[in-house]
Amino acid sequence: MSAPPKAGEKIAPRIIGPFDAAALRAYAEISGDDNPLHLDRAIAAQVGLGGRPVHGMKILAAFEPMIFAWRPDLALIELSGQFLTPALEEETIALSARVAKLDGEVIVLRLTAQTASGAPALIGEARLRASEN
Amino acid sequence: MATRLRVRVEAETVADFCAETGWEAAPASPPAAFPAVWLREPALKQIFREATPPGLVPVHEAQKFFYARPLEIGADYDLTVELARENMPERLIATARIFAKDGAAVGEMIVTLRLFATPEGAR
Repeated sequence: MSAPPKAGEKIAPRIIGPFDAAALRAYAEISGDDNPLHLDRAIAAQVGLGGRPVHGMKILAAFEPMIFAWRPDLALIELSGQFLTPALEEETIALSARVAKLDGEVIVLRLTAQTASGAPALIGEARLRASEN
Repeated sequence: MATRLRVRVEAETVADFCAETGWEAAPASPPAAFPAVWLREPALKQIFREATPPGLVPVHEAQKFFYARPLEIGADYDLTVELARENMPERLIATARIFAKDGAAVGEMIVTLRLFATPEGAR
């Protein structure tokens, strides 16, 4: 492993999306999360949403290539997220991450995704250690 | 009671999952979030369906993955899935433990689903 990161270090942020109906359908097919809320604009409107919400797992999973691009010499041993404000189709989502602390050989990252309006779409945590590969 | 099933990490499915989650190219090992695709297994969809009371719909609220060792492409794994129910607010929490074929613990996935009243059009 190259030099360990320092607490407070920020990872280069990423913008993902906007995702259209076809992208949400494609994620529903690969994940099996075919909840009609994500796929049917009329049903999303019935619960007060202005569009189909992006699957929370699609957002959480998008942190992995961002983390890998930052430190390909590290491997994820934990990844978690809470899905908060729905991020809607046709809006961008900003991903950011920073090193929260070093816990022995484990590096703890805080993950945040924000909707285009700045609302928290996801808060999460990743734990990494040196890759065995 | 736990539900048990065998799953496989297919290279094609890893590539498809990576394409949908922002990877420019699939990494050498499956992403940590890859087990999310196992939720499309009919046996798992059935236990969620049976555990969801009429008039409620599950919405993904939180997700966790833990690993003792990385997943491997082409490998088979045994999943043991236990479902718990919470009230106020209503939730289903599925804990899927991942084992290698030799019985070694590989990791764990915890899926938290919040149960909401079903929108009219989805009934």
